[in-house]
Amino acid sequence: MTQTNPTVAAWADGLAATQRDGIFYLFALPFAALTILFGLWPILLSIQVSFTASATALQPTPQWVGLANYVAIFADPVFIASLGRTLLYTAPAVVTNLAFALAYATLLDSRLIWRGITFFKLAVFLPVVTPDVAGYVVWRWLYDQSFGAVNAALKLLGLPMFGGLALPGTALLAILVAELWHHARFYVLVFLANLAVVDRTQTEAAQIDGATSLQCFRHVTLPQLRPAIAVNLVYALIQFLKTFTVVVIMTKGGPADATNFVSYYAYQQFDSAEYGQATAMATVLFAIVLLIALTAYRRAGRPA
Amino acid sequence: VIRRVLALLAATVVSLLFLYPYAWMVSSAFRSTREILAEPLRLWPESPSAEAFGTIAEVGGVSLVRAMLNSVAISGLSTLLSVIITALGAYALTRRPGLWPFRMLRGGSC
Repeated sequence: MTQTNPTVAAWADGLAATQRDGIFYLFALPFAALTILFGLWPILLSIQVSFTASATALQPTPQWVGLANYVAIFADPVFIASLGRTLLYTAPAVVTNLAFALAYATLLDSRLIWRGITFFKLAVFLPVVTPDVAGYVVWRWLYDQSFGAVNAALKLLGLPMFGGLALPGTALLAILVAELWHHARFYVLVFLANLAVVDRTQTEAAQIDGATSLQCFRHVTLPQLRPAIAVNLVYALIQFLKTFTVVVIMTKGGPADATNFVSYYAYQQFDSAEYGQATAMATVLFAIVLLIALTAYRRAGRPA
Repeated sequence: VIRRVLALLAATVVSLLFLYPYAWMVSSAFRSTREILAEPLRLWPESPSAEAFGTIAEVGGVSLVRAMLNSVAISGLSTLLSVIITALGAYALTRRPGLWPFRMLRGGSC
């Protein structure tokens, strides 16, 4: 009789497990390789560039400058302003998008509408099949001061002109509306999916107990929508912190920097060969997005 | 009944506002620049013309058909590849959630 050595046994177990899992490693390999190659690697390279001098950033032996780029961007008033602007835009953008989506989804789910549900869903979901660039080009036309439909409609109704993209004061509102038009359907879809599994017997019970429809919504339906709110909140935060396409197409950061967000400013810096500072800005934005998204995810995802 | 009418009205208004840019886009495609500038609100072309489509049939020596084929090829191939690769990966991670390097990712998010 031979005594089995525990170490050898554990080692043999491990080997067997590896052999058993071998096929699964093989399956996961392409996925892991692509994630590393196209997901993690560029991020790491970009962070690396943020620690080099711009002039030498793309050479094989870049000159390391430590935190100099970070010092430079935090001394740049335009960057600080764009950072503040990004956060100031994100907050109302997230709130209006989620509020609109929740209201519209609740309306569609309320069974008050007796016909045309498909039409009402389609109208809001249509931007899915629209390339974002095409959508924003149309919106830029609509906002035009002299020839745009928005101002023509306001004139027809006898209302004051809307400054649209031409005035610093209204440009943010203008792109917020265009972005709502383009992004709201995702949030509506998530809310609708969640509303479909809300327990209607609870609502009925509350109604029998004399709760008003507002109380029903606030205390019965809303708590059950927590998963959808969490998903939408995190997604919307990420979406609006990274606002970029709409700025490139509609305003180019103007007028007077009113829509110059971090992502666009970093892109401009990169275009003028300030690679070090551009990637430093991108890294700062990346850190902020990650931090805010993780915090929101943990807080909103926690059961009530 | 009033609530139902109000609900229908609200949904109709929102839907039409969402659809307006499309209607404008489609009608403008059949109008001349002059007509668009003169009457921005109008949704029915005064004298429908497919001239714009003739203009974009070839841009910079590249035909529109070629550009469309490029789009189809790119989206078709990337869809096919990503479905195959992510399906394989998802299967592996579902059957063996503890697969070594991936366990760390789950630990980070759960």
